[in-house]
Amino acid sequence: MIKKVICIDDDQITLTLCDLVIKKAKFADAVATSKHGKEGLNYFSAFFQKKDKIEISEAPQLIFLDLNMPVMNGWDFLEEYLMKYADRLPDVKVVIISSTVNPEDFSRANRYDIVIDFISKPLTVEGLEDLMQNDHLSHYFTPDPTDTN
Amino acid sequence: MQHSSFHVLVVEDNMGDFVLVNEYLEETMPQAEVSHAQTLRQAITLIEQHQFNVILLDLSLPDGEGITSFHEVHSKAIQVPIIVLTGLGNMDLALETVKQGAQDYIVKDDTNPAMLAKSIQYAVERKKIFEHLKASEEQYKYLFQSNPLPMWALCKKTHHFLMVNDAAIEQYGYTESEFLNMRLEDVCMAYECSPDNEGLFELKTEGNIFLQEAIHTRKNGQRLDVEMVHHNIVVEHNAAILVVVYDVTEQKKAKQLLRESEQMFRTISENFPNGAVAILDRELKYEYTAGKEFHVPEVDSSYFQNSIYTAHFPVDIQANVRENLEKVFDGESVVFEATYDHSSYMISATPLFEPDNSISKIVLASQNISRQKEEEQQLRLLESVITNTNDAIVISKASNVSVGHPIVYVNRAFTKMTGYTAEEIIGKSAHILRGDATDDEQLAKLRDSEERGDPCEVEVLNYKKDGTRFWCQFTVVPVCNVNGDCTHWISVQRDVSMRKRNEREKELLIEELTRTNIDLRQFSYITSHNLRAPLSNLLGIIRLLDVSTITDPMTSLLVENFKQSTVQLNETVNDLINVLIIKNNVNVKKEKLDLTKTFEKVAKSVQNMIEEFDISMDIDFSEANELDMNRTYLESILLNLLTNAIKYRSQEVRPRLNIYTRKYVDSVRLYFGDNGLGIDLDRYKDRIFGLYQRFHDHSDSKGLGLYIINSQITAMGGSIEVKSKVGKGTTFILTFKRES
Repeated sequence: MIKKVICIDDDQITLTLCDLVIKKAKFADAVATSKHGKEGLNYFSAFFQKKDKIEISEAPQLIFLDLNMPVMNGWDFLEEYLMKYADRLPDVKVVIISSTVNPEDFSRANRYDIVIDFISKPLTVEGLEDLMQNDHLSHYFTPDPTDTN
Repeated sequence: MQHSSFHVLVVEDNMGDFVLVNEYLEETMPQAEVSHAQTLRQAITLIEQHQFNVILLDLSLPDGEGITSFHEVHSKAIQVPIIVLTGLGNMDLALETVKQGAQDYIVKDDTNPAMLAKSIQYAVERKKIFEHLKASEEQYKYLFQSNPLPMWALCKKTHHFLMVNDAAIEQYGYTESEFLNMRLEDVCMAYECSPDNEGLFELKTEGNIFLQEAIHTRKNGQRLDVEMVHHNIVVEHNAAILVVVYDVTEQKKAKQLLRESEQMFRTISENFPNGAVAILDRELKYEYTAGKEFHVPEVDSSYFQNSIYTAHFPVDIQANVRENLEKVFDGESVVFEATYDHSSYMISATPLFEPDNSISKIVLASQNISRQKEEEQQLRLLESVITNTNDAIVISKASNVSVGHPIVYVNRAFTKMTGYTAEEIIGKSAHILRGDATDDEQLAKLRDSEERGDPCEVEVLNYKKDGTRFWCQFTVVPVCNVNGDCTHWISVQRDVSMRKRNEREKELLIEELTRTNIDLRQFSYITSHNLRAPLSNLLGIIRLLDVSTITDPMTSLLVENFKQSTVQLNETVNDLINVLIIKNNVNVKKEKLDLTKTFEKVAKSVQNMIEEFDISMDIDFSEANELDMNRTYLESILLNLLTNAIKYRSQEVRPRLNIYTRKYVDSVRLYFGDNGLGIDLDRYKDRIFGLYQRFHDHSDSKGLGLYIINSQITAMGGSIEVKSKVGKGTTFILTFKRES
């Protein structure tokens, strides 16, 4: 199981649903949330600031990212995250969860290495079970009891 | 005969002998006048004074002796016969004088009057004959020597020259002595026969006199064309041939010239291009005609023989032709045209002057000018096109590009378009039409191609004479001479202001439409996103909702209905989104698909329906099993067709599907037939593949399936057709493009 994921979405209901589904599917222990890209960036900055620094071990291993958000959308978040934090958090991957139908978004997502999947809303238990098979994530879910990070 | 004037001179120093002789003469020739000379001197004096008929000469004179006396007298009176009087002892001497020219001798002691008279008579006659002979021989010699024609006497055996005359010497350039060391063959290069073993030509002399051609050479090597006449003669007891030479060099040359000029005339006349040459007499009758094309079709020159020239023309123009030709006999040359039977001939005639300047024949040449006429007409037609066309046409002379080409022609349309008349613009260049607003870039393009000599098409803003601006589209084409040098430029110009305005409006419209279209698409994305977002939340919630915990049956029913409505809403939204994506995504990946496998996969997904409704399927993809198609689209199409067939099955017969493929050169057709309800095509033909068109009252019909199929197959470059009969069934024919 993944220790911690963060869901970045402007829709409170979606966030609630995500939290419920993730837990129900036993996908992750903890679910952090942010209301938009800007808040997401702030969340990550906390691990690297001098004052009131949060331990890096507290950082999430996966980001569920919505695209259409106020203040700062998913793409802008991704660009800035890649610039500021991606290098320092090499194991962190991104899964886009969106209800977009714009083909531009699909092809754009393909261009980022850090984006490992693109899931159409809603996030379901079945969807998460498929995601567990992903090469980048499968190691979190090995049945070996010694490996539980 | 001689009597009254017969004069005898007796030269005798012995008086006794004289008297005796005198007596004899008086007896036999009483009329004869006798003169007596006693010495040689006396005799000569008398001979110089008188004309004697005969001289009786004694050889032993006091002032002369023997043969010398004879020579003296003979030389003074060569015409006069001399009879020598001699004694018995001088017989030999007397004989000698006879050999030298004396007519006779008389032995004084052994004679009588009759004998003397007879001797005198004989002597006179003989002398006459002799003189005659001598004269004729001289004449003959003269004829030979002074003959204006070159003559030779040849040895018959060796052909050596025996005699040559002055004309031969002059003609051939050899001296007489040179000639006498030569043979005929030394001057004769070629003869009618080949030379024999000894290099001699056989000169035929038997029978008639032959005139035979030969080629001779002069001493200086010049060629002489000659004709020779030869016949046998005897020269100094030897067989010889007399040859007379006629120089025919000039004749030959003249003949050759005549032949050549005739040949030339024939060649010219016989090859007279698309026409004929003729010589007519005073009656306009053909004397001669030749050529490549006569003014009567498909005949040759023999057709006209002895006919009258005008007879070959239609009656109505004969008089005109005759009138024209009559003028030629007045010494005029005429050129006129005769047109009939869709052909035109140009006839030019000119008189043939005789040496006395009279005209009894004329020569004429006729030429078929139908084609020229036609071309002329064509040209006139073309000219009228240029003059009357609505496009402005400008022809300018090629010159230095920077100064512009001086205009040499403009048509009416140009004047109408620009306001400049031909007079105003000819000589000037088209630069006069340019102004501040004229696009320099276009002009540069024009200049560039002009420098290269290439045709060019540009559109520039030009100025009319009154200053109005107009859009001028013009095409410039170079006109080249035979050397490929550009001599003129032709430009076709058109006022396209209206079109330009329309184009501009169209551009604006397209711009606006494109923007609207982008906005609309964006709008549809946003809308569907905004719809989907809450919808997906609903779906998420429903999935998490545990209905079993609800105890109130009413609530449970409501929640169930809420669940169904949500799923239905989601399907509709997804269908719409699918359509949107098909419409906007032209670059969907194509791959080679196995039709059998794809169909099996699709059929499997609706296996429960197939089993439930006992659908029988007759499938044959053997003719074409491979399709070039997008996988998702093909699956969607097959699924739609299959579910349609099941949904609209007949309730009366067992549902049966007949599915097969056919292969064509550049396409594969998929036939998908059923025996279901069928569609009333007469009613729905136009709408069958339309959006939200429903033809059956069926609970789960949304009117979207065929629309999506059509969209998907069209996006792949294919097409779909339908054949149907209500109550019988429906067949869909899908055409897929085959990749080459």
